[in-house]
Amino acid sequence: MNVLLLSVDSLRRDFLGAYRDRPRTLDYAVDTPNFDRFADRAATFETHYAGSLPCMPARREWLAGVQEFLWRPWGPMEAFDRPIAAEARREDVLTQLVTDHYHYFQHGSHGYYEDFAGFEFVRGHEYDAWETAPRDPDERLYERSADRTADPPHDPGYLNRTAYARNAARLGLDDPEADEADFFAPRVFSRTADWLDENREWDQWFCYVDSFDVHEPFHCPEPYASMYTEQDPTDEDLTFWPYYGPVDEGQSALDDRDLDFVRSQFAGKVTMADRWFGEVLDALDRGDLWDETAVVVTSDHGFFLGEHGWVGKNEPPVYDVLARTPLFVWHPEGDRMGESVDALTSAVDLHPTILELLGVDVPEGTHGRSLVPLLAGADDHRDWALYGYWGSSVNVTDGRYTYLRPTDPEAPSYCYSTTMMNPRRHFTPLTPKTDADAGSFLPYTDAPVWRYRAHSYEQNGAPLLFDTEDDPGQATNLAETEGERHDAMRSLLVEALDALDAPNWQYERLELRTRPKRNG
Amino acid sequence: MAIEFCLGNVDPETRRRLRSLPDAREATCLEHCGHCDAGPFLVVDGNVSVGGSHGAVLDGAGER
Repeated sequence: MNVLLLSVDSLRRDFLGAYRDRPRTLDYAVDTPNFDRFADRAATFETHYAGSLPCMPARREWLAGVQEFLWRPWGPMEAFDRPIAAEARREDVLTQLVTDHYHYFQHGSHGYYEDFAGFEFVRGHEYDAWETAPRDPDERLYERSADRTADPPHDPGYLNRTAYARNAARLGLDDPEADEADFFAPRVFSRTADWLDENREWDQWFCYVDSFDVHEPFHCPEPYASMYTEQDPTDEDLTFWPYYGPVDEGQSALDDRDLDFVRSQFAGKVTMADRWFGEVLDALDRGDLWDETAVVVTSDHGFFLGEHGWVGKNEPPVYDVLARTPLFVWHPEGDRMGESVDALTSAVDLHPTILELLGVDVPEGTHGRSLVPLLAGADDHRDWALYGYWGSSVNVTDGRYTYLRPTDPEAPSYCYSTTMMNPRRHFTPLTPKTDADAGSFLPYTDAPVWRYRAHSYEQNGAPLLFDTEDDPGQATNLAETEGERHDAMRSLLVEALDALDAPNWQYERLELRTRPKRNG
Repeated sequence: MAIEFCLGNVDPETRRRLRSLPDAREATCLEHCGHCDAGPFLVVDGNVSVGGSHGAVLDGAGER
């Protein structure tokens, strides 16, 4: 069987008609006819959670099956990882990557694309280090996306937002009349459709499509830019690229007009991505591929658009806005097609699922559980799902209750890797860790790794406990009022950490019980 | 005065001092990696400020 894995970055599930009539914080519906068309055909997973966050950690879960955030932040594939592309290739499966996700080509995240037999890198999104001319960027895009103090146009430093203005100008996206086909999701999905048309003669393939859209910058062409707003999308006072952080202070502050506009441009991008996702579905129809192809559609995480007082991700508590992600799976022989699956599932489960669908053995020591039995009609899958960012809160759900366990920000976190990565500055040159230890610290490999310390940080100062069935917006914290439930979820968190053989310092900084074990 | 700083841009002592300030917020990344790679910086009232040390940045911001 072939497998098509398609991710749409930052795609909030509540923006999809298959999950809600309208997004939780908007008073209008968002048009997603093609995602809905696919959902009608596929199994729709109602209780699917991210694992390691944000972007690259999610991809290591999908591709290598490692729930890495207990040991490591954003970083490369490790020498002991056995990613899907490498395992499938050894079994003579053709492997292909189509992406505009430039993080694969930055500092801090090597090893993800190299195992594919072919890869298509669509250039120019966000900070992609691509275009350096003109030295003075297009004013229209620059003024709406960058800050002259923070992003001096002539400063060649890392992550300068001028990059987007230059990249977009090269693609002609600076023109308000630009053709939508030249934008990013349209190019990624068009190339995917072409690849599906061009590769029908291969016996078996795994195609991984990783769309950086609907990630910011939320720069949309018409008709999408005006689809959900009465504002003039070319108004230089309105940004399409908000900073992450609190919505009411600092560089991330947005007033009501700004926030409404950002929401409208996010919604516009969702509808644009949907329009071009339809091209992929059409190619599957055209090639009569549905009977021989499993199709998995998901996202790495959501994006705060003012909910709980935040914009973006990373620093806020990991509410369901971020962690509860969309997942649709088409299986040609599945018994649940066109139905909803209520069972709790986790991002890391995609790894063994895809390998099983490809007929490739699942490596020992990986952390996922195949979804194939669920697709065949089983009801039970897992009792817990862990999710979070390395070095901060560790969060667990049983599928109904979510429990966000805070860390002591003064306690250290430890990074384990064969690379001396920058645990907090992923995109800058590596620096030597002169305080590193070496040893076989990881429970899922005998290979020695470096271990070095870094700051923990606070997402929530106190435990947060929510009943997502009665309170899907997670507005009422039950941690202080529901003592028995709090105890039960704390025990579930310990059970999950035990199951993954988490290091002792995780229990200590989370102020959970410790236990004698070998891993440091 | 709202102060924002990156975890990757501070040593433990500087972090402790900044965390003790009212209205200071630490972030894992404020998306100013060029400034972060070059030396100490803070975001003060929404604006990037650079200097020879975080203290110097704060002093400069206080004088404005």
